[in-house]
Amino acid sequence: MRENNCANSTTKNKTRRESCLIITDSGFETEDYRVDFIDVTTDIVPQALSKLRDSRAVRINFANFKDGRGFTLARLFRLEGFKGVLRAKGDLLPDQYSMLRRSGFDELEIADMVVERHSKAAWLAGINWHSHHYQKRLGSSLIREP
Amino acid sequence: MYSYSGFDSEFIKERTRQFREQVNRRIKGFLTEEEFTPLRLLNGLYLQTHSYMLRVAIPYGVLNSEQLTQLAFIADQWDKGYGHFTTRQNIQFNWPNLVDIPEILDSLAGVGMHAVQTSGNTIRNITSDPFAGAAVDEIENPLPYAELLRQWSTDHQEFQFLPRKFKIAITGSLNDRAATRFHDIGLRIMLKNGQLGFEVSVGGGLGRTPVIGTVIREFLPKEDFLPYVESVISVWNLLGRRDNKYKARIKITLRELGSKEFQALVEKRFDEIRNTFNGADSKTLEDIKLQFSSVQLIEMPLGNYQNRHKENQGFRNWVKNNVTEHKITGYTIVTVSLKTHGNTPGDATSEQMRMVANLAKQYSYDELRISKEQNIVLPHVHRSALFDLYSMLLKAGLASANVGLISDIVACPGLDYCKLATARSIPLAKELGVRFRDLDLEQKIGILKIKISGCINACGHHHLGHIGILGLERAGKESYQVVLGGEESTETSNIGKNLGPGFSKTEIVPVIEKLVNIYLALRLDDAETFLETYKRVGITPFSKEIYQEFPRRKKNA
Amino acid sequence: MKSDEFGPVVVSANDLLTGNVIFLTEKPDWTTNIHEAYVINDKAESCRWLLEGEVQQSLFSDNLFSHVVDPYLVELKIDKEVISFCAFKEALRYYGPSNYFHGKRDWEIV
Repeated sequence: MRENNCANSTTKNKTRRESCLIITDSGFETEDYRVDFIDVTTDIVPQALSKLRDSRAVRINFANFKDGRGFTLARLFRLEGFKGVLRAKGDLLPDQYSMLRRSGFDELEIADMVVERHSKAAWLAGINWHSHHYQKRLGSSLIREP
Repeated sequence: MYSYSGFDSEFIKERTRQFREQVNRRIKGFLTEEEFTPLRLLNGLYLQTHSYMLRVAIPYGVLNSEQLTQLAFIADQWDKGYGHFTTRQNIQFNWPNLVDIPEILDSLAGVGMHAVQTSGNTIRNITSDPFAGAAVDEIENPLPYAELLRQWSTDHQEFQFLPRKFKIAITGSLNDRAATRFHDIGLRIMLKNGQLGFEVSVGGGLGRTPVIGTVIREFLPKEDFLPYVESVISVWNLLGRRDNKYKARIKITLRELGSKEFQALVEKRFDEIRNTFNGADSKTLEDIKLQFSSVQLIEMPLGNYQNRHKENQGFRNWVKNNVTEHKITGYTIVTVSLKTHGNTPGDATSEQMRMVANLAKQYSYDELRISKEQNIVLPHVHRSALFDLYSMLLKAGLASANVGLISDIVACPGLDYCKLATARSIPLAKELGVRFRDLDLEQKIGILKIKISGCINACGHHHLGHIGILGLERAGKESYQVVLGGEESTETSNIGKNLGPGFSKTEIVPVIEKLVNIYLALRLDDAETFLETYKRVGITPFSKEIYQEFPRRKKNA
Repeated sequence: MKSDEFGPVVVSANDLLTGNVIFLTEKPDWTTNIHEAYVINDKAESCRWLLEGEVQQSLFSDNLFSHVVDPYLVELKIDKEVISFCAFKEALRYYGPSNYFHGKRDWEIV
């Protein structure tokens, strides 16, 4: 919406319900709070993130769907040897689910309202992330070859 | 050339299916424009001034006749009967309807084409030398490496939400026809002690802040090709600014961090990730190379060539300007000029596309390239076939003998089409073409590359023109600034220097004409090109005379 | 624009399905013809229309704004009955590209 000297609209300040879903390859689940996540944001430097390498669970919070730093952070984190649960959180796009999995994330935490907006079917398409994976086909992986 | 494997086809099929869903949801109103925009940008669909615009990828500029024919079909079926070839070797359709996009994508998929990653903050089309695989000065064909990069960058899990777009160019020749120094990553094939590798430059670019790339690796062994490129982008992905889109490109990151620091970070990242590649890429590269070297150029007698050349002036002119020597004796590289005087640079009608497709099939081993100068290159034409080819082109109005000459103008679509533009570029290009045809000076002037951009984003590459023209807006009217001496060759990359204050739409053509006259008066002899004269005498002789004849009103203090 | 003067403006957008340039009419409806556009001279009213557009686009129902993209205000100059665009860019947007072969309308722009 272009600005034409009008006051900013109030619809931008939407209040969102906190209700989230967790998306994994098995589908949609609600949060069961069994696991304690250490939260980090995507402006963390890889060296700081690697200090968490022995943690059980880490959650990387994406600022928005345009914030592609999380993918590289996850990749580097796995390379450091992180073996725990790696979760992404943010209002991402369905197309990004497979990117998350391929980068080393295990799951995505996302507002269920956002899930519905794109339709559950759109999200489920990403569960097929092993297929059509160019980078894997070229021999690139998340871990170092011995 | 490369043909799609089952994997490539399946990928496109799935991608097209997904986007079809997304278009449907948008049309039905289940997605807002805000939600749909990033999705359509992943698939090369823009909303421009008058209409949607679909940018179809032409990987490193290479097409076969079937593909070009299909593009012609798409132009007829779903557009207004033409397409626009861009300065990044892609093609744009200016008038598709949203509802037709899925059909168009299916149509493209049928010939191994797509619009994936031609927009958005991702790795864009890998561009290269339109003479690759044929040039006399070639060290090694860069196209297999370009194809490897294409595969590696497609749907890359880390790099589709970068701070900004990312452009890579690669060349395999001593003469850099891919302008690698003006890309986010520029790759030049090198030989070191008989070993093949790459010189890697980073942070080049045009736009608001044109800058020549910095070499951060003088020799990268070919085995390290993909890991190293990944390292550069990985480092930038985390560091590139995300708060200000005008400061997000890697050229700014390099400047803010310092190239030494950046280089060190890349080398460190490279150490971290190099062993995550198991070598399958090397095997793939060899397979790709086989596909590119499968063309067997047959030896043939010269036939009637010499006689035709002697008898026919038009043919002689065309050979002189549009035909380049090939590395295989007896063969040539032909540039088909799309720059008929008075035409829109880069535009080709569906009929012209079909014609050139057939010619490529008949005379060039079914291969053609789109150059970033917005012409079509037929890379493997035997000299004996040149006259027949020329005759066919003449009939189709595609035999302008002006490649590299003043009417071979490069221009972006400008304000006529583009939402970002500040001025029109097309009418200027048309007028200049006609003017210099009418003056009958083109051949006399010789090589003079004019490039026109319709805004500061420089998609017309005006910074690299011998004469570059930048269209801006001033007090509600179009205003054109001139730069001189841009150059994109291997040894000397130069960004054009500003002549001075801008000119109105009615002044700009006379100004260009005057610049040419100044050059003709100053040149040592016929052989000295505009660029050479400019380099010898500097900008002052030009600016002095121009602003004497076209004085600018002084701005109020 | 001076604070005591406003307009005339029209609300313009792009049609979702075709990308065509369209204008809001009084009905209200959308038209590609500038002469059918609803001319607004009151700043508050023009803002109301834009806000209305924002609100409606966030609802998921078939409404006036659901099939248009990016509504905004275009300034006009109206001299007697003759409509012209204040910004050159807007004139191009309405009349079409000036390389007439591909144009939406036949015209000669000076």
